[in-house]
Amino acid sequence: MLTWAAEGAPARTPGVSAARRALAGIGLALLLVAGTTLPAAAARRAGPGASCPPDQPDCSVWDDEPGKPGGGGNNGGGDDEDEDDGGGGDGVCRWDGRTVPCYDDLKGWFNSADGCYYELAEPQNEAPEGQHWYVQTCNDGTDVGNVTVVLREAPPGFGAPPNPAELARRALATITLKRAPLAVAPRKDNGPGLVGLPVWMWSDDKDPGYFGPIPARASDRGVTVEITAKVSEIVWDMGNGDRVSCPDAGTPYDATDKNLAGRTSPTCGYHKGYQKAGKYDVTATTHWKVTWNGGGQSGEILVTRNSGVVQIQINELQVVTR
Amino acid sequence: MRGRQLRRAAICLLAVVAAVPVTACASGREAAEWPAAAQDDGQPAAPDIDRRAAEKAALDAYSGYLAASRTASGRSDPRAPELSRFIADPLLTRVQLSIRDAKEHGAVRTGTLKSDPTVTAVSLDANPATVEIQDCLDLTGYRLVYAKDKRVVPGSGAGRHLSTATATRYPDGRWLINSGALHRDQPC
Repeated sequence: MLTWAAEGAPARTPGVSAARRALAGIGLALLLVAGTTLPAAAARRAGPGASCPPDQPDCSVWDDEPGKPGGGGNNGGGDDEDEDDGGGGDGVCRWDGRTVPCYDDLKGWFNSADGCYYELAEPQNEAPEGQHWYVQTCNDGTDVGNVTVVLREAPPGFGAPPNPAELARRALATITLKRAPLAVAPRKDNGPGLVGLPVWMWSDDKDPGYFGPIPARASDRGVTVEITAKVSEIVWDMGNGDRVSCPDAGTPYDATDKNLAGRTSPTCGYHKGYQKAGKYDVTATTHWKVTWNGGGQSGEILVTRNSGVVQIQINELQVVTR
Repeated sequence: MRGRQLRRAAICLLAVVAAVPVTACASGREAAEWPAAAQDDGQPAAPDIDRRAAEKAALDAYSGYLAASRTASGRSDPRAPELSRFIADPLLTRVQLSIRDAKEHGAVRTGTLKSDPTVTAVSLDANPATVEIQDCLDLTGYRLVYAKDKRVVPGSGAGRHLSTATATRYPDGRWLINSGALHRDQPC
């Protein structure tokens, strides 16, 4: 140190850099030793941490956004979807109080023991006999940093086949079960009805979106599940506490056909009619039965959709005398 | 007798004194000063050729990586086959996840990036063999935009930054980029 100081600044630099080089050399030698005995440590040393890859400078630009899209959300109306309590519950894994997919097509299989996903590294580098390199992605992918680790055995859950029930839900998420449009006779917009006269109710089954059948399928890791969604029942709420269940969309009332006046609907009606005058809000619920089949299993998922409101005006039956 | 003992002690001491710096220097040279090491061993030709070949293969892999990533990001296709031709895990999965993230947000990357990479270290004796690459990446013309209206994604964009990457030789002889980082805190 003293010598370097006496020699002045220009001479000092090479001395310092030589010392630094020697230190770096020793450090590297230690790392190399560690690297040969512990390949995982070597990989971690090279690991880039939480910074972005050179070609993906904005990799964390989405982090501020609340919730990630594409997380298997149903396309609207997911609220009134009946959860089947799926005893096994292998469709989703749990970590840190949240549910996470047990499999991700890029990250691989979730290990519930450490909260990381594992996938075989591509390509495989040399590994000790019987061991493999895995890509480990932790923290549900929010930490974009991942590493390769060499493991003697596959981590828990690795290579598990997809759950057919989960695939059925995924297929269901690709289709839209529409709210049924309602029609009634008498309808307030067209004029009032009378106490005690039959009411006709019907909907639209020309568009399969309202009553089905709607087919869909989902595939993953060689397993394909096919689903068919179909309305099994439409329950009409007449607005006065009475409910009427109909097996299908019903029969439209044809106002131009005078023979129908005062008749009951052949398929879906409130035959006894309203007993009191007043204005009634009529609603209906379509009950969808989604049957699925695949992966050696089959099952049903029940989903309901609530309709809008249609109004009926009922007047007293009056006898007019002259 | 005594003379021989002394001589033996001296030799031992010399060996110890010599061994420490030699080991340190040798491993230091491996990484940082390989041209000097090549000249020292008196056979510059063969190792030099190996190193130059490794450097070239590594730089080819690096430019292939940037080009493949640009193609895949421009299409927002995390499964673009060209990615795995130049990139290995864990970087491969990271790049794929980043592209998928952009895709799920309806974004793609457009424009070009300018690269001027150099080799900073060659470790052919390591297992696996690696080559360290450093680059001053100019990303000013490389933007993340929404696919539908080409609007730049708020908060995205970068300038000229130091980038580092590691090329690794795989058992089949291919050199692939398996790690890399953009150092946004280090403009260049």
